[in-house]
Amino acid sequence: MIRTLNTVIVGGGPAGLSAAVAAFDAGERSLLIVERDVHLGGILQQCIHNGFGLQWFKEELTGPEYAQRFIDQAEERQIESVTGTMVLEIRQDPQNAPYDKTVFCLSPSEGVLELRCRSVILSMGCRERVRGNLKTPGTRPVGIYSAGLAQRLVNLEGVMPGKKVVILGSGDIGLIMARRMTWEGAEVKMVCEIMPYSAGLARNIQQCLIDLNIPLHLSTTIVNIHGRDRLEGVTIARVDEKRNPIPGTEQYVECDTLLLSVGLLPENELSRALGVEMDPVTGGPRVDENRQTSIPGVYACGNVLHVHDIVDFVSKESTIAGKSAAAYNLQSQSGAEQVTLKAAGAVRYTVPQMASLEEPFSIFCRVAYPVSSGKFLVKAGDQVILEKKFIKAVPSEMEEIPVRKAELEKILSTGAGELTLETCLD
Amino acid sequence: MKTDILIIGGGVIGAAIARELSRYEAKTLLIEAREDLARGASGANSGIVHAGYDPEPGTLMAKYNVAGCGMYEELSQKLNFPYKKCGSFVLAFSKEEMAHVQALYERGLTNGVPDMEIISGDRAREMDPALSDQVEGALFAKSAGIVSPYEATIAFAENAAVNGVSFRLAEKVTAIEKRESGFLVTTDKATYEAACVVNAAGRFAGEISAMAGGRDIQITEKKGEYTLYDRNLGGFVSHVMFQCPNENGKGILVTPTAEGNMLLGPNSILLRGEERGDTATTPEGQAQIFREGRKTCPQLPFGGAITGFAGVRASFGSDFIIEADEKVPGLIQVAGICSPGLTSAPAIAVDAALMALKAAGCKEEKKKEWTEEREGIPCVRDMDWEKRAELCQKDAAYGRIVCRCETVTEGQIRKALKSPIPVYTIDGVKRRCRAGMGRCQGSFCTPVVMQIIEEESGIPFDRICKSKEGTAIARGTLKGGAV
Repeated sequence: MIRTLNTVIVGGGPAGLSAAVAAFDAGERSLLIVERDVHLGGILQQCIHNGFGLQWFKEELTGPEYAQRFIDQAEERQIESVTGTMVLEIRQDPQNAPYDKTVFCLSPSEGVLELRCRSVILSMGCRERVRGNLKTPGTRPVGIYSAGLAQRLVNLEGVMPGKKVVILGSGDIGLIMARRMTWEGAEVKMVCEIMPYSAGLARNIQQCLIDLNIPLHLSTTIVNIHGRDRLEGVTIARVDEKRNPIPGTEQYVECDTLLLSVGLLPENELSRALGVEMDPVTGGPRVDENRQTSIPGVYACGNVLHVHDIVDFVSKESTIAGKSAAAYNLQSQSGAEQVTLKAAGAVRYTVPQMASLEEPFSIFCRVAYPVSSGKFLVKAGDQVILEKKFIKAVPSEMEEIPVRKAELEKILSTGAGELTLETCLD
Repeated sequence: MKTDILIIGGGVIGAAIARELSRYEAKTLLIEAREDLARGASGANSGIVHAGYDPEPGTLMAKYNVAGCGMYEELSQKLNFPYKKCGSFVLAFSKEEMAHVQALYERGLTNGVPDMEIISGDRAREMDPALSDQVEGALFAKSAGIVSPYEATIAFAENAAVNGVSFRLAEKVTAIEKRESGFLVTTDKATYEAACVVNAAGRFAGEISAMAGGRDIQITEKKGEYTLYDRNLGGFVSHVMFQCPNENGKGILVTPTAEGNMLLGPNSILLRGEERGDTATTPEGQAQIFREGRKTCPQLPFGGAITGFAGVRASFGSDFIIEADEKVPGLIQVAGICSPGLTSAPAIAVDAALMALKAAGCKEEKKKEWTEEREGIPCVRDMDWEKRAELCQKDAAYGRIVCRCETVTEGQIRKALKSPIPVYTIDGVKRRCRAGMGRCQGSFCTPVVMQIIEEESGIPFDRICKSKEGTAIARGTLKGGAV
């Protein structure tokens, strides 16, 4: 079936839902959310713990509750969505202008669905890194799962993957699963983190590990996996500052389950195939402050753009993308010249990576390593445009640096084509 | 149960022989100790169809390699398994190695290898820009290719099954008694009378031969480690890249795979005593293959690996054993089939089947009805949109993607579970239709695959195994019971 509409939203998780609602509220009525799972809501549906929504809704919600708020909002607005439907290809077809993007989907109800549209919002989310990415040696028995898969098995399928658990990586999903598995009667022996600091939120370290007496071993990794058919144990070892295992520090830990919580990767196969420019640091597309990618009319938001620490920021970011897509459809966005944003010092990356400086906006960033007491500086050449102080900045938490009207003017007056966001320690 | 021919071993050799035998009126049974086909070396190797310039002229290896190489293209079309005749390079990094390449070329001519050419380093780099500047020249063999070794094994077996061969998986042969005529074969589940036993037991060929009272076979086991890369690196090289072979085998290769990934490996580590059968990967092994792979392609990426694995090569001396046992009439030995065993398998099978028929006292009488083709499982990933639409029209389940990384639909998974030799495990599904074989390694699709297995097999969700019995994903339900 071929359909023509203004905006197709690829992915009905928190990012896609927020973007759709924002596009609707900006006046766009011709919208379709395409979701591959059987339900809207994305990964939030298996995140049954609380702690979501403190910023956006000013109350504490569970994952499914947070998702439901947006599902309800989409339903109230009668925003159309299709589930069980996966986008496999996005093409640019200039001869169909202004509906010059074609989104090809596969669905059990429609078979092949061909959607011609003016704008596309990429909101496919991310996936977890796997053992192969780390090249962790050893056998390949049953009992090794990504933390997210274990979360689904426990929370949605009602089964326990094991009873004696070691977790590699202190990412938030791993920490949440440490607590969840403990509550369900498993013995979580330890969380090993190769870095000298945790990759998870401070509140999760407290609530999921410290409160339950689960040890967190920093600068520690897994160097071997044992057990031919079922996991029998792992060998852990301390690592040096170059993350190489230190001989003689090996220790055998008996376990039947190993959960990996070793980072998330934006899932951009569609974006790459479409030809949008990518940022090698974030693993997501390069975008401007409207979350527009290098291809006009193609927007990206949520974890497909860069991995977020909390979903509230996803909603915030996706609102920008949704609003921008609606404006694009009306051709009311000017093609203003853009400046490039670069990360320097302890700053690992910025989103956006480009800006047209027409309206005030926020720069989101993450640091590459923990830093304390200093300030973020936005500079045009040698000139400091603005600064924001911090007491502590850690890689696991995103920072927001607002650029206000006065500062925009300051930047424009310098005529600089490039802005730098860097850290300056006291 | 009585059978004319009993094949022990469900690797590529046993499966290919079973398929050849299925042409004939003889009653054939194949017994495999593991829960699935291709669980030994056939499931973990380089997946290369070698041209045939490596083996010493006059050996069985030389004969069957060249013959087998010539059979794969047609077989892959008839039996519907991934194969690509992409050609291979043997790279020379020095004048001495150029001499070696020349010697291989000449050996290839003696062995009857078609379409070989010695090319310059520049020409090689033109064809594959990722190659090192240090490459002086290469032997280019156009007849070489890549194949999915486990899918080929499964295809042979399924075609045999459709044509009347019986298969018993997860059944281990525990004793073989030579009787006046034929054998009494005891397994952990049943006993069988067979006129002929074919020993295709891979690294257990020595044990099986000993049970039957046959010739002494001391299998040497060598482990080889691999790194498998994301399919977005599938085009990093477009030919199979060998370095000059040395005493440890054919050296580290960098190759595309028939399924569209990139593969790096293998090294070669002798396994002794307790180590036998070990398929664990090691930091040293993974580092070694990466280091040596970088010699071929200096830009070989460190990232982009999605999994590592190892396989065990079972060899005996310097050639294959393909013979009727001299001591025990009725026992056919097909043992020590190390590389180029995968390539040779279809050709070995033709001769071994005839040996088995003779040993069983069966006539070379072909069946009137023999299904030559195997439908296999449609590959939605490789189809154009028109074909996809057509398939969805027939069955809506082909419109529901379950494995997002490899674009595998519910329809394909159900088809795999309804195949002639269904295996109701996560890995069984994975080997047949690639669900869970991609970059997320099943992190997203495993529970959905389990649901479909439950529906197709009736095995409860919490009993579904990754591979053999005892490898259930679930180790119990929640305190409140299953959801």
